[in-house]
Amino acid sequence: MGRSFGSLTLSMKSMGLARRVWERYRGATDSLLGLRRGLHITGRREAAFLRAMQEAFAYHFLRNPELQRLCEDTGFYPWHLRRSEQIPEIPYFFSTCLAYHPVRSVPEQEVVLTLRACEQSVGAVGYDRTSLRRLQRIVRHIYGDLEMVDRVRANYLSLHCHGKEPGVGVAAFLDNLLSRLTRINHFSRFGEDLDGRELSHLLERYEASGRPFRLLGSPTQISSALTRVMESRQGRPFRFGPRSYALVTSWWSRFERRPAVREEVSRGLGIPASNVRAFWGTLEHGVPCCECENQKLHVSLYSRVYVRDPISLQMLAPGSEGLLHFVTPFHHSYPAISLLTTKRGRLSEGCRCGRASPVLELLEAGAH
Amino acid sequence: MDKQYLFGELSENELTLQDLEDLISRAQEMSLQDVAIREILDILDRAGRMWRNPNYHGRRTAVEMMPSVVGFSAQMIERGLEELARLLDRSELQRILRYDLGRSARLDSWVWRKGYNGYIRAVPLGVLTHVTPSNGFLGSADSLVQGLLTKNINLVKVSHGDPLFPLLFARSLKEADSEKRLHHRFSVITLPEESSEHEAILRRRSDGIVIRGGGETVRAWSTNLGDGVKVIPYGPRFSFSLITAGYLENHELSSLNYEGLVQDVVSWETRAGSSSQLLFWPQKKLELLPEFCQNLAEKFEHWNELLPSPERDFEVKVDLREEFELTRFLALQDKAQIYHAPDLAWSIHVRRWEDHRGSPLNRTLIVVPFPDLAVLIDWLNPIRRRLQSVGLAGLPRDFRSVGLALTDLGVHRITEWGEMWRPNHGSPHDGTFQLRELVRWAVIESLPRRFDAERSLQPIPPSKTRKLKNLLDIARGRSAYYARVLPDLEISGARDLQKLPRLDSETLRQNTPPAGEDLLTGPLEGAYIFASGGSTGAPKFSFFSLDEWEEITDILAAIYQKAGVTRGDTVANLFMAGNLWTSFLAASEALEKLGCIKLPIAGNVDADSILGYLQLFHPTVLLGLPSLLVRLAELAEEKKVSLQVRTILYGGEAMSREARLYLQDVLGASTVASAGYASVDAGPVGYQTLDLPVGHHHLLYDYQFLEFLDPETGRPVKDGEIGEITVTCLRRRLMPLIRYRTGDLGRWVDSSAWVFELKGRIGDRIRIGSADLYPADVARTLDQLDGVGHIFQLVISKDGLKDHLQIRVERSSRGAMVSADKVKETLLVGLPELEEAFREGWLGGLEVDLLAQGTLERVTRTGKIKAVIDLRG
Repeated sequence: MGRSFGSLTLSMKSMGLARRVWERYRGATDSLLGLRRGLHITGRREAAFLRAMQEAFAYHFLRNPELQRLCEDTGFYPWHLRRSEQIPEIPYFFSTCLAYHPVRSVPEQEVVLTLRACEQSVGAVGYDRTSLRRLQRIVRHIYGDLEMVDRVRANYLSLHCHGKEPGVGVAAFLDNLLSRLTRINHFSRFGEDLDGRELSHLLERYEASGRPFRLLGSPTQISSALTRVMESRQGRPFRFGPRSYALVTSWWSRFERRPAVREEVSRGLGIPASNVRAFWGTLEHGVPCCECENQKLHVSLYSRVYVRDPISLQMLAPGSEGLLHFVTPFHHSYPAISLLTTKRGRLSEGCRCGRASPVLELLEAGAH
Repeated sequence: MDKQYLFGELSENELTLQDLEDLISRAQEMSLQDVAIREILDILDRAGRMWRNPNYHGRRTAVEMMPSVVGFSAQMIERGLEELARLLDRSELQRILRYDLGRSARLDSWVWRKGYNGYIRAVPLGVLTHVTPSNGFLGSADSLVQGLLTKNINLVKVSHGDPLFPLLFARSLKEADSEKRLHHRFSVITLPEESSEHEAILRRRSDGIVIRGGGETVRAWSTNLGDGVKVIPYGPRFSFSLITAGYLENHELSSLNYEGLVQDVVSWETRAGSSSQLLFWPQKKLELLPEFCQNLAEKFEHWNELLPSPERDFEVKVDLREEFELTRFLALQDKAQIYHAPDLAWSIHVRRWEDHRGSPLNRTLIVVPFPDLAVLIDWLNPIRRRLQSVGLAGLPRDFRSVGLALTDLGVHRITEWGEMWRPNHGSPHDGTFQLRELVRWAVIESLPRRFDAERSLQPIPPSKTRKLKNLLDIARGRSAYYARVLPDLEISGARDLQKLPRLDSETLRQNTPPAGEDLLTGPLEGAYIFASGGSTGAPKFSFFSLDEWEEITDILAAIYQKAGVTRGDTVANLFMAGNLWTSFLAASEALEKLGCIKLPIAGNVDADSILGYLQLFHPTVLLGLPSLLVRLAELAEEKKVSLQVRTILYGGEAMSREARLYLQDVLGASTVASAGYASVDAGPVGYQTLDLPVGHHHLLYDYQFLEFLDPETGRPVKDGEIGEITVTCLRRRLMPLIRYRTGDLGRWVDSSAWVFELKGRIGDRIRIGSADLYPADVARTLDQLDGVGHIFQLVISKDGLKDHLQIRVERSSRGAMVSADKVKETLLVGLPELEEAFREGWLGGLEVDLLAQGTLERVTRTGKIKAVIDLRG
């Protein structure tokens, strides 16, 4: 009934065992990230994911005391992870705890990018160069599988609010990640106080250039900006065509307005509705789930998503609603390779688009 | 499914904007001023008894349907309904009224305010909108009850969290209100999903808005109000428990009230503003904390079996998981401990204040060690405006000192553990007396005399049937005695009362404390106990609630005023004091209500002392027993003291013409009148006016229902014939008197004018020879003679086979000397039945003894004369 926890007493033997695992699987994560089709999960690739997790688990166990305590509490250690079915047993960090308690697996000076959920967050996600490089590859491989990586120069407009909610540093981080999917012809950024006429002129130039156009922002930001632009153009829409995309973040938070916003963006920019693509991820997990042309959010090869009962934490069958539990090996500086969140969703197998990866349906926000 | 309860009619329709406008217009035309508070209490009490009954269909529906609506288990719903029944209990409601408004009568009419010497009246705000909370289903009922108690016209807006219970409650009130007094004058409304325009109408047109809910709700409803609309907000609140180091030093851990603490947490799933979310534990006693938590965990487990936690929705589960994980993470670093049920049905989190970030509620208790009170106050300072209750385990001195510091900070209520979850009705809520918030106060300033005396004594003749129905319902429903003896019949008129049994004084004695409690309808909280009948046998006790006592003294004040007593009079209260007697106390209260200067001397002080006080303060009015007043007059005459009293009011005994003349002569009183006919058991029954002959009384027809019955058969006697006075008190509820045999004889003089005549006690009717003799008739006959006083005694004995009557009469100092023969002759003329018995030889002898003043033996306890001594065996 009662539980209290004593001080950590890891033996040299434990550390030795973990080191042996790490040495054995060293390089497995980068091997996994070398697999280009990010939404194509097969048996062989599953094995590659297991090896990557074995490496990542042992790596962070050796470097992070919080993970060591979680392992001690659950009795599951890196050397216990032998089969893919055991991956969900890797002790999880709870997302809310990470907002209050900073954790990392590398010395502070190696962290090159720090992301926070908000100004008040004590906890932060610290990226070292390895983590950043890995994530950039992940994003490129996912969008590659969605046929959205292009060598052609494109014009970019970001409406992400820099320095404001939802995250500190997140906007620039997202712009950086997403603008790497093509070569950049011109990149512009507008904030909340944008001038509709000015933006309209910019978009007219972009339209006139004939280059593909990519719009980045949240549904609210995009909707608000488009409204102002359309007012200044007396409702006359643009015609950017099928090579242009809108990459929409935080789609889930406007869940009930999703079809309306998609239609609004499609009509305003003159792009197919299927080119309005949402992507979603948590700050702590990092790996995004991205929409295919059928508006389904796909879980990538580089992460796993499990659905759990919030009380018993039992894993639930596909189709059942529960808390989302994410696992990924890509983090190098941040130990939350297994992350239990407060987000609610369900998984389903397969999609009409034919890509071999599970589909995630986000239901509504949890407590955070 | 029904969505609306619109002034008594259920409806499934959406409420359009026009519907709402019309509804408010109708409400603005309504008033509850014609419904006495007593009736409202009766209806609410009846509804409470319905809810207490496990087989009541509304209760069954609530237990079946509410768990899925409000997220409480069926057991918690049951517990809540018991709490509702307690809330509706008549005595609880009376207590709320008394504590909040001082007196319930202030809502019924103008009430003379003592000391202020003017009238005060609580006036309803008018149309009251209640915005009900979603965190507990009783809030809506509670709010509506308060609105009804203050006679407002209520519109209860249901919350989306609980659209069901307010409607169930409204239906129950309708069922309890068979006389259609209340239920068509309030509404329960469900607004559509998009309701901003509806809400704007309510904000604009209501006279008051009671808002119960979170901060956002309070803010939203407090803006864009119509001019003068009063807002009564009850926003989000935060409560906690606290144990002091001193308490732990003086008590074993095993003796702590774990049960109480757990109840404060689990009740209402910790969602109520009064639920204990945190426990502050003294850091000095940290070593005891693990054992305490272990003990507490066992009690949580126990209560979880008694009151299982409900099926929780996803959001709640996520909240519980999140809190568990936060504490677990801290515990991994030795910064916290956690105790919990495997399914998180309850949990105890021990952690530092800096790690505290709110509570997920739902049976979660967060234990925070605190170094000292000053630091604790600092911690709580930022949330001081949201503080509500503190359950304190402390030494008496802690309640004083810690209580002072916490209430200074912002806490409104301090209780012991186990009392937080169930507020003491009548105590302030969130720092205010709630009923006071629902009325405005009107006054009539500085009147020299009360204008309501006439109205108190002779109001508009009421419909007795409804009052009798309500009385019988309360008696049958709440008194074990009446539940046993009253037949199960609906009365359709006062005549049906004859089908009910009479209540005699011995039965009364056996069913009231200390012998029994069956006759009482509620607990003896805030009540007076009086005694009677102790001089001749086992005393009987009578019980009056404080409100009932107020009514009696109001009536008495009105009687005094009608007799000429008024503000500024100096009044010597010479009734017998103490010894559980009523008269002195009642008179004292009544005089205070009139604004008199009181001389509380009491009749059980020696006559010389009384006279001394009267000489010192020169009262304008005397109140007392006739025998005492005569004695005082004699003493004054003897000592040649001039008192010059204006008015004399007497009670407790009859007063002869001779005595009245004597008092007028010696004391200079221009008015000598009866203070009324009353008894300890029955309360006030009638009063005299100067225009009525001796013994005649006006009935207090709005207070008592009177019957004259044959003492033997219990059948009503014919109009004008003598029968036993049997009273049914229309207003008393604590100790209902239904067909109570007073033991007094009387008859209607003019039943249409509510005038009756007292004929003495039943025991006083003497069958002597072949005649029925009443001492009252003897007194009336003696009254015609000068030279004899009003004090006499009838001694009946046997003279061989025949009865012998000796009449002992005290002489009077006034008038000419009279002979015994003259007295005898007068009696035979004045009492034809006696004369016939004497003449025809049925009576063996008739003897008159004239005695000196003051020589007839008095009863030591009361000072009264025993009027009849029957020695026939």
